[in-house]
Amino acid sequence: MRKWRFIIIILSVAILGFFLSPLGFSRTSRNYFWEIAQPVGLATRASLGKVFPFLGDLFHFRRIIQQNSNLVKENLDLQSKLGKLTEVDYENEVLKKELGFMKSQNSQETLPAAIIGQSSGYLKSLIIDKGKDFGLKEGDAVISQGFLVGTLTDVRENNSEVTLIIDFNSLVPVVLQNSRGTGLLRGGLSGLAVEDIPLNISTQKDENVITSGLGGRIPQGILIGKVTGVISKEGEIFQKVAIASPVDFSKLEVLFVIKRND
Amino acid sequence: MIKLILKIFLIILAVIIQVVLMPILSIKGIWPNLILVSLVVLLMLDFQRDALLVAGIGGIISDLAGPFFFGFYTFTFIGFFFLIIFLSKRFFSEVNLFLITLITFLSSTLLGVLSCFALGRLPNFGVLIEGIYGAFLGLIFFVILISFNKPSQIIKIGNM
Repeated sequence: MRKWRFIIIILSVAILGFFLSPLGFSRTSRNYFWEIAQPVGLATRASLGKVFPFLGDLFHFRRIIQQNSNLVKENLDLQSKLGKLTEVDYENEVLKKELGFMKSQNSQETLPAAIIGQSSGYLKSLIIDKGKDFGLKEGDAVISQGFLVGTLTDVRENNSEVTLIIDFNSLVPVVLQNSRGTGLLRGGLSGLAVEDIPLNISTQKDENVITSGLGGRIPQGILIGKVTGVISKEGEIFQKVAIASPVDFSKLEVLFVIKRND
Repeated sequence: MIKLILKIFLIILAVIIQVVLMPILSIKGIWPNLILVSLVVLLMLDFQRDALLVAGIGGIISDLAGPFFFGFYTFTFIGFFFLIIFLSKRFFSEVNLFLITLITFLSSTLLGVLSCFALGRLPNFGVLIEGIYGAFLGLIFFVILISFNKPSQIIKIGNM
């Protein structure tokens, strides 16, 4: 008898919670739960979160050495490119002054955020330790190592949910940097892809994909990855290209939220 | 009373571990549900009262953390509670390693399928990973519980 009473109470609570959800009940309760879980989450990520990936990497020692030598080469190449770009940036500023352009105001700031946990493996999302209390808003871009990794989809009082760009529901307006083709970045089981690129655009392999800044709160020009190839079939009215991001989404540690001051 | 509070505290801790530690131990981004695995193992070992507590309290706390609509885990776990009792009465009277592995595999896989549907997606191979991983954890739980209890106590699944 006591068992049935317990079951009825539990089911009543669940039904009540279900009907109160549209009134903001679940958002408030989730905020409290994650506030309680936050110290455990931060401690776990800081300790075990570093040990397990390290143990996993020990099995790929040879690959890591090869990767390191490739990265050294790439770093040298990027340093030379950076030198040239700094010069171009300077020239650009001088020309803008000559033409009477106003210096563009930087109305955004980056805010570091730590990962607390993940609520489900099927939803590619993360919970971070910053929320409305830091002025974050839904739709704000989240970056890691300079690359876009997701957007804020549920901002609560003291924590927020980040939907990663690899999630099927994530949709980000992007532009291909060399061919200037615009499209929509979508995640999914088969990896990242840019859809809806007009057919008259000739996409190039290894060209950068950046955010277009069209719609939403994601600023323009955040790097996402490189084009690896065309995956659309003949006869389709739009092109679709596959994208590779250098970010390992399973090993994300510290994220940065781009907070727009508007 | 103290025992009950301790059990509830352990369930809350298990849910926190589920969302905080388990993602680090994920395989291909998928990890099993600790609450479900412990519910299945407790039921198979005839700890019905504890299993019901795990299903009820674990379900409510999981709903507080989870990405699904409120009540998803509670209804699912209570449903699993009755389903496993029904299957136990009908089809098996003795508990062994194979049975524990099979039931935790099927339960975890089914939870994965339900999770995909709750998110409006079709199930993918991830549900099988969840099933296998869940079965492995179930075995560990089973061995731990067996080592703390006399084998004679855990033979038959009783009546509700």
